Formats: sequence, C-alpha cells, structure tokens
Amino acid sequence: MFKNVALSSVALLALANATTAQMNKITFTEFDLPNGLHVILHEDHKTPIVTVSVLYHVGSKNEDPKRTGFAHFFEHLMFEGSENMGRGEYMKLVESNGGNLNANTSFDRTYYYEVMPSNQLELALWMESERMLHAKIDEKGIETQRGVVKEEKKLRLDNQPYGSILQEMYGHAYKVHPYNWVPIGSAQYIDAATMEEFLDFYKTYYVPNNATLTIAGDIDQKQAKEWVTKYFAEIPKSLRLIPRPKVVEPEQKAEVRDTVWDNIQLPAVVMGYHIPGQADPDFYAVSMLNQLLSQGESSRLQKEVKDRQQKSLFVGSFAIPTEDPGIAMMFGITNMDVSPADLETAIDAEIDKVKKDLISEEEFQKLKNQVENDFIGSNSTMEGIAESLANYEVYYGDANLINTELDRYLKVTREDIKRVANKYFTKQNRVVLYYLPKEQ
Amino acid sequence: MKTIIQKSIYTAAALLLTGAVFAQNSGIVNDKNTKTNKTTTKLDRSKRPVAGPAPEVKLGKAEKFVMPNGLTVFVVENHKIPKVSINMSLDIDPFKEGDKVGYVDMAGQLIGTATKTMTKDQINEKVDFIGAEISPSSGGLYGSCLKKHLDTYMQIYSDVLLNSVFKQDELDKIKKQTKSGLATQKSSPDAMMGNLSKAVIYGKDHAYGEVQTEANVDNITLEDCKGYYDQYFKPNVGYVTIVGDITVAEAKAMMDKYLAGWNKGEVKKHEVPPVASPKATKVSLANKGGAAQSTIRITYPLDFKPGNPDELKVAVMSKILGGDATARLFRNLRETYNFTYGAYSRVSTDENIGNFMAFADVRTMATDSAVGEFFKEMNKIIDEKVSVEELESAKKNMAGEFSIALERPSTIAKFANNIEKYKLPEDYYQTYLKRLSEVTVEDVQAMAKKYVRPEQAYILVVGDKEKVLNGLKKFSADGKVDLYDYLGDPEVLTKPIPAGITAQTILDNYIKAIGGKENLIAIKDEKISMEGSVQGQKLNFVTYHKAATKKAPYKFKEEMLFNGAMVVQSTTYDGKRLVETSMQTGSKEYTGAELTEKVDENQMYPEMRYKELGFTANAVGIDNLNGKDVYKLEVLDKKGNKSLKYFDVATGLKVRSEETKTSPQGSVTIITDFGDYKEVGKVKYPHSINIDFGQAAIAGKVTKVEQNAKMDDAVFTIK
Repeated sequence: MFKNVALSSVALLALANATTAQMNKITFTEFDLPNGLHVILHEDHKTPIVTVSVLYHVGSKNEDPKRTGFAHFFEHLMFEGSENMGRGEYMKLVESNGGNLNANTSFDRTYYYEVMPSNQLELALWMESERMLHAKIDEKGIETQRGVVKEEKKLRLDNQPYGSILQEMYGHAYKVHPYNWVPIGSAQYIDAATMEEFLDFYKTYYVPNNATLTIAGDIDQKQAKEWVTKYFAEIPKSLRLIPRPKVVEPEQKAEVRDTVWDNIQLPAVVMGYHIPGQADPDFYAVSMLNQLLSQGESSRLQKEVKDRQQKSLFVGSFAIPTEDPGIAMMFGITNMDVSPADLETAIDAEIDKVKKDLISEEEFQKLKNQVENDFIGSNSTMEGIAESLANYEVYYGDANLINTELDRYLKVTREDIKRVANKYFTKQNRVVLYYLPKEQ
Repeated sequence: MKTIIQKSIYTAAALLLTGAVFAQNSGIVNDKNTKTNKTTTKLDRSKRPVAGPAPEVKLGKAEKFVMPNGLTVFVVENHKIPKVSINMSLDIDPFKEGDKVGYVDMAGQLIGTATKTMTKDQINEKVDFIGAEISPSSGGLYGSCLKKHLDTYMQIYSDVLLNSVFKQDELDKIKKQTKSGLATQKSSPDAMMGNLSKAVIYGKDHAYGEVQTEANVDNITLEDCKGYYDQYFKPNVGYVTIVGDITVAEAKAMMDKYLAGWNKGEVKKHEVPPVASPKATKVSLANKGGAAQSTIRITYPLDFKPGNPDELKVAVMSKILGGDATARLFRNLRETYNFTYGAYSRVSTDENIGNFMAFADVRTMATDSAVGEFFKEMNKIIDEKVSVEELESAKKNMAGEFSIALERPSTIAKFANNIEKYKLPEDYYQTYLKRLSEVTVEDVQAMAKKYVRPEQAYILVVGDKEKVLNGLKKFSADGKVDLYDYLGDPEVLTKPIPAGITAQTILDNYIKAIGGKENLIAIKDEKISMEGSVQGQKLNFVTYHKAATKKAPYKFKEEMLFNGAMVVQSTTYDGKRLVETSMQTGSKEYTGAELTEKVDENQMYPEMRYKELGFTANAVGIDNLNGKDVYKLEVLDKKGNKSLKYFDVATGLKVRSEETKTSPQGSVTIITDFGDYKEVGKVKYPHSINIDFGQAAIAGKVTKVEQNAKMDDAVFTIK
C-alpha cells in the first residue's frame, strides 16, 4: 500500500513541476501628474465596465492615540458630498448611473472605488477629483456619520461572538506602535474631535501627492489620460509634510498572556506572533509557514488538531500583511469539552514539529502549488486588478508585482520555513489570549 | 408616584422626541462648509460630465449538452486566467427530516471523507497538492483547479462524487462538531434570527422550518446518511456548469471520460406544502440579553416563483424601497436617523415559497423607532407613486449591475442553468435590458400594492427583551409580542406558584418587607421628590399624599416640573374634586366613576387595602426578571381593569408594575421598575424608578422623601 502512495505522489510531483502556469500578463501604464498624483491604467475590453479607485496612503496608524478611529470615520465623511455635490449625492450618482461603490480603511491606507459602465468613466473621475479637491465636511455630516459608525462597530465587533479578537490581539501585542488600536477605533474620540481637526486631517492626507489613482477596464488610454489631467491636474500639490509614524515597536521580551471574557458559548484560543512587514523577504516564508499550518484539509492544524484529535471546532492561522512589522495570528475555537489549554498544547505541538524537522519535498511542493493557484485566481476581475495594482505600487513601489510577486514566494526554501518558525514563533515573541464565556 | 408621571411624561416625552429630531434635521447651524475656503479652479467644476454612448452589452454563450445518463452540462469558455471550475448541483425537492434534522447536511459533509480506493488523508493531500478546491455538499459538488492540473483533478472529483464511502468514526466527528456549533448559536444574533424566522414563518413542522437540536443530532445514523447519498445523488437530476479555460470539445471529452459511468436512477419527488401568510401583523421576539443591537426583519412568505411575469417589475420596486445606498430605507434609517449601519429590503423568488424581507441591525434604544420607519416606507411606496427620477435611477442601476455581473463567466452559466431549471423563455436574459427599460411608475406602484403588505407581516426581532419588548407591542395587531428562545421555541416564562403561597401572602409579605402595616399607617403625610431624565432632558417630579383623618378625607397631588420650577403638568385631589392641569391641553376634571377609579389607584399604599378598595389579586406564577425569580400578580380593579405587579421572591419587594392605559396616541403599556430600596424613617422606599412608555422612557432617581411634616392643606388647593 505505501508503495502505491509513494509512487502516485512522485507522479504528481513530476506533473506539477512540468509546467509553470500559463498566466496571461496584466499590462498597464503609469504616469505622474505634476501635483504628485500617481496614475495607473489597465485596459481590458472583455466587459464594458470600468473600475476607478483612489488609494490614500493614510490609515489608522497615522492617527493620534487620542483620536483613534479617525481615518475610518473620515472614510465615511468622504461620501457626504463636495462643493458641487449635495449631501447623499455621492452614492446616488454612482448607483443611479449603473455602478456600485465602496471604501475601506486598514491600518495603513484608505481605499475608495467605483465600478461603472464604461461610458461613465468621466463622471467617476470628476467625482473622485471633487473628493480630493474640496470634499464637504460639515457638522451635519459629522453628526450623522458618528451615529452610523457606532452602529458599524456594534455590528462588526460588539454584537458578534469573538468579534473583538483583532482589537484584543493588537491591543496586547503593541505597546508603542499605533497598531495598538484597530481601524474602527473608539467612539469617544470621534465624539471629542473638533471641526478643525477634521479639516486638518483632510488637508494633510487627502492630497494628490499622497494618492494613487487606478483605472482598470474598458477604456481608451489616451482619452482616460486626458480626463485624468482635466479633472486632477488643477488640484494643488500639498506642501505640508505628510506624517508617517516612525515609531518602532521594541522587541517583545516575554510572553504576554491574558483572558478575555466575552459573550460566547465555547472558549477560544488566540495566539499572535510578531512577524516582519509584508515587503520583507521573511514575510513570504512566514506566509507559507501559515499555509503549511492551516490551508486545506491536509494542512497540519486541520488534519492533526481539528480532525484527528478533535480538539477544535475551527482552527486557522494567518500572516496578516501590514506595512510595518505585523502579526501572524492563530485562532481556534474549542470543540465541546476541550479546554483552551488543551487546544493550545495541541497547536504548540504542531509548531514545535515545524521548528524541529525540515518539511518534506512533497509537502513543500504542495505549498508552492497552492501559492500559484491563489495568485492566479486573485486577478480575475477589474475590481481585483485595480486594487492589486494600487497596493503593489504603494507598499512595494512596484505595480508590476501583479505579474511577478509569485517569484518572491518561489524563492522561499524549505530551510527558510524552518528558520522563520524558529525565529518568530517563539514563546517570548507571542501573545496568547483565552476567550472564555462570560457568566450569563 | 405613578399616574401623573406615566401620563404626563408620555405626552412630554413625545414632545421632547420631536424636539431632538428637529434639532438634528436643522443641522446645528447650516449646510455650508463652515471653515473651508472656496477653492478657485480654472475648470468649471459645477458642470457634471455627460455619459458617452451606452456600451453594447454582449451576453456570452453557454453551450449545453446532455449526457446519456441524463446529466445536463453547460460550458462557458473564458480564457482570461488558466483556471477551470466545475459546479454540479442536484435538483432535489426540499423535504422534512423529522426527528433527525441535519442528517441530509451531514451526508453532504461525509462525501469525500473516503472513497472505495482512497482514505480521507489521501484525498485531502491530493487536492491540496495541486492547490485545488473541492467542496461537497448535500446539494452537489463544487470544485476548481488550474487548467494544467485538470486531468488529475477530475480523477479525484469523479471518485469523490461516485465512490464516496461513509464511515462511523467520521460521522461521530461531524456530530461532535455539530453539537459544538449548536452551542455557539446562543451568542450569535444571526443564528438566532435564522431559527426564529424558520419557526415563525414556516413552523418547525415544515421542510423550510425545521430547526436542528442536540437531540436530533443523536438520532442520526450512518444508514440515514448513506441512504440520502444512494437515493439522491443521480445524474438525471444533476446540472453541471463548467466555466473557464476549456473548450466545449475538451469539456465533452472530459465528462465522457469521468462521469459517463455515473448511473441514473429514480429520485423521489416531494411536495412542499404552502404556508399561510400572517392574517395580521404580529411581533415575535427572541431575547438576547445585553445585545448591543437589535436584529430586525420584517418578512412574510409569498407565492413568487422564478420566471413570474411580475419578477422584474417587483425587482425595480424593491430596488427603490431598499435595494442599495440610494434606496429609501438606507437614506432614511441610516442617513437621516443613523439608527443603523445599513437597512435594506428584498423580494425573493423560490420554486416553492418566496418571501418579502426588510432588515437592519439597529441601535437597541431605536428598535421601535426603526420598525416604525420601515413601515412608513412600506406604506409610502404603496400609497404614492415613485418619482420618474427615482425610477430611472433604479433602472440604470439594475442595468449596470447586470453588465457588471457579466464580467464573471459564472454568470452566463447561471443564466443558462436558470433557463433550464425554471423553464424560462430561451431569450429571458437577452431581453432583460429591454424589459427593464419598459417598467413604469405605474408598474412600480401596482407591484407595491400587490406584494408589500405592512398589514400582514411578521416583525421578527432578536435583541434585549428588557429594553425593546414594550416598544414593540404597538406594532402587533393584537398588542402582544410573542417571545421565543434562541432555538425558536416559545419561551416558557412562568413557573407555577408553590403550594402555600397565595396572592394574599405575597402582598402581606411585601407590606412586611417595606416596614410593616403599623409603620405604614403611622405615616400621616408624605412628600417624595424625584429627578428624572427623558432623552437627556432633566425633569422633576413631586408627589404629595395626606392620609385620611377622622375630620378630613384623603388628598393627593402630583406635579411634573421643567427646570425645577415651571409646573408643566399636575394632578390634584383635594378630597372632593380631582383636576388634571396640563400646559399643553388645559384642565380636565374627573367626576363619577372615573373619579373613584383615579382616587382608588392613587392610594398611598393600595396593596395594604385591596379588600376595602374592591380589588382582586391572583398569583399567576413565577417569572424571571433580570435574572431574578419574581411572583407575578394579576390585579383587577372594581371595573375589571387589569394590571400586573411583580414581587421579588427573595426579598418580597415590589420590583415592577405593568398596566395598559389609553392615551391620545392609542393604547400604551406602561412598565414601571422599582429598585434601590432604602429606608427612610421606618419605611423602605424605592430610590430608582424607571418608567417605560414604549415610545420613550424615563430614568428616575428619588432625591428626597419627607414624612409627617404637618403638610399644609393649601398644597391641595384647586385653582
């Protein structure tokens, strides 16, 4: 029997190595306006639609610790209109012209996008330029969005079992770096913020030299460039210094442990290990290490902890990509009658194995195949392509990583995976939180 | 300290509420950019770009072929990325699982845990090795992989589909996981809403309404699961869509190679019985104590099958009502009132039972206001024609959605599948944009009249019962709110009264607990001052009581003051006449039976003298209130007006009273909670008094109690 398995795996290996994926290259052009706005265009005529996005390089890590939640709150305010758009018109103009829109805020950036029928490109550019030039910030919009954002926080965090795990993890893992708080922040600070602070934030960060405009879809590049120039070139470049946090989180010297009492039924274990930022070569190795642990039913944690030992109802492990050094997080919900300590021991045992033994060639090949599959699948829509191009440009300074980032993963060796496990997944470098049911 | 506070606050609170809303609408100052300087630009930016000519929307093509074993296959070629997805779904009628709810789902989970030739680990390793995905379920098998691995992948796919073997130890694992999952439902508002809506809309005895329990899980056997897989996984009820980097010829050859050996067989048909629509609107509440928000659904079943001639017109109507961020519900509940992060509505088709649903997660204290706004919008879209602008905007949005969806090749596959499955006209999607453009404002109103039913809806709420229950009563046609637990079972609230306990012993015990009859009778006069706040507005309340003496009758007065001085409302009884004075509505004198009724219910300690007042009390049972056991007493006055009183089993103290009164705004249930009992002299007084009127609530703190201070009769003078 074993012979057959061994044989079939060799055959699989040969097959997988035979060809690298025939990926269609994503072509794009880039240019800068004199005011510093960076523009990326991707032309594709398969479907008559276009995605227009603007990435502002400002996230919760740019916030004052006494004003957490500011960047995300601002994202909400930025739909309130402009000098030439009334209150509520932003969403309406997009939707009533056949498009959809949204925005999101992370630790590191704020991202806005519209997907429109391609004949509405000029409208979308006008709207984004209005937002960049003279968005409307008034008391009424502020008041309304204060209430809305509070409900968003309740919906996402307070009223969901385990909803606070990111908040708790980052709160415990960072002492001085602004990743100490999550983008949703604290309502009390938004309540306290004054009009002057909002305007100051807008003038500091919502400027062309802090923004990347990406257009992807059914466009004529020459025409698109003309319209971009028409609407964005006259937006003045900001002469203010754009503050970027320089603070470095000091190395953690001892394990951090705590208990969170939550409105839940089953205990959970959350572990976070400090890891490098997303552009660091080690990040790719750590990312593959997390894949080894929990991606797919044959991964170590799924197979051993969840299936064989039945210690957990759910288990997952993720390297969370951030611009500054970040966190690889493991999260497990205990199965019935399993204690969190039990689950923790089982997860630790799997990590110890990776530290001790080099992974097999076959398992390593599996990781590479998974990376390839995910990478190829990630750019199937204009919306996805626009966001990838913008992220690669801003975080790595190279939009072309949309075609080549796979190489960075493929450079990782088996030894690297063992090395990063030993380097980062240590007790002194981690935070362990037990989530326990509150007394009802 | 009851009647006046309750009655006058009710009107005052209504006034204050409007005030708050008005202040908000007026936007503090005004709408302009208060601080930004107008930007000067060369371009005339007030000119909005005009759209270019509408691009032609081309529908891709799906090729269809039927295999000899009856399996229907659709292929959509798309070579943008080198991946292929294969989605096999089975057309099986929903049916009841009885006391084994969940076994069908478990059968789905067992598929792919082993085959005749592969162990679970081998299957998982092979799939993961090529970075592929395989997701079995009771309704089919979905998967995707890179084109270069397709042949390897199809070996696994077909083996899992045709040769799965079910093992007891795997079922045991799934059962354990399922039980753990069930335990987590108690803290998930979404899971609770799922159970509540099944129970209320369909009933738990219906194929759409069954709710899984731990006991169900124990009943499930391996044979049940095997039986499902053997009987229902047949090619003749299967539809496969293959999408991606593959040609039709390749797909045909592939299907022939891997699935031609799948044998057809007869699949049992099931009738899904229709469910009745609610005759009148009713409210059902599942309690989630301490919930940060209330999860609201307004819903009812509809006979609305895919392909119904009204389908597209209804979709336009629903888009305007609650389809997106431009729609009325979002603009109203989020952008005007900020009750919620988002409010939406949908009308869904279904082969058996469709439904209407409007929904939002809202701030707990705004629960009833939000429900009110939902109904306002539902009525408005029935009563008034939508504007042409709104209609055109909705149509443009839907046309855009349609072409954006076409970016994904799976959309074309889904269209082809729908045409086949629901027997739609061949050109159903080809004509979509044309039919959409023809919808009129009259159509929208006709659809609203036909499908929007505010008078016959279920209002489902998952939230903090203590805070939301009372405010929801007014939406229910019969004034009642049905309570459910997290599994959607009616909440059993009342335990029986133990032997030896009667209404009289409970009342006696209460009198004893607050100081005893002797001490209560010794109080000749009493003045209680209370500070309260309604919607952040401070109010003061004062009550005066003077006991009857041999020479003079009983007297009382209650006052509500603004800013501690201005009397906005008062009720005075000088021993003969009882007059109510309000700054808003003027004076009213009570006479005859009404007078007697009011005097009786405003006695100093009525619980001491129910007999002489002609009241009857009946001990109904033991309820749970804020985690404590309480005796529930039903009290009837001489006229038969019913009220409820609750006494703490442990301390004997009165903790709540509940009565229904008529007001200019209709019938109102008033709930008064008493707490923080503290001794003054020899008698215990509640120092925390919270009164909930549904629309508003007042949180009161007693600031001063004065006894036997030789109260001046002039206090009771009626001017």
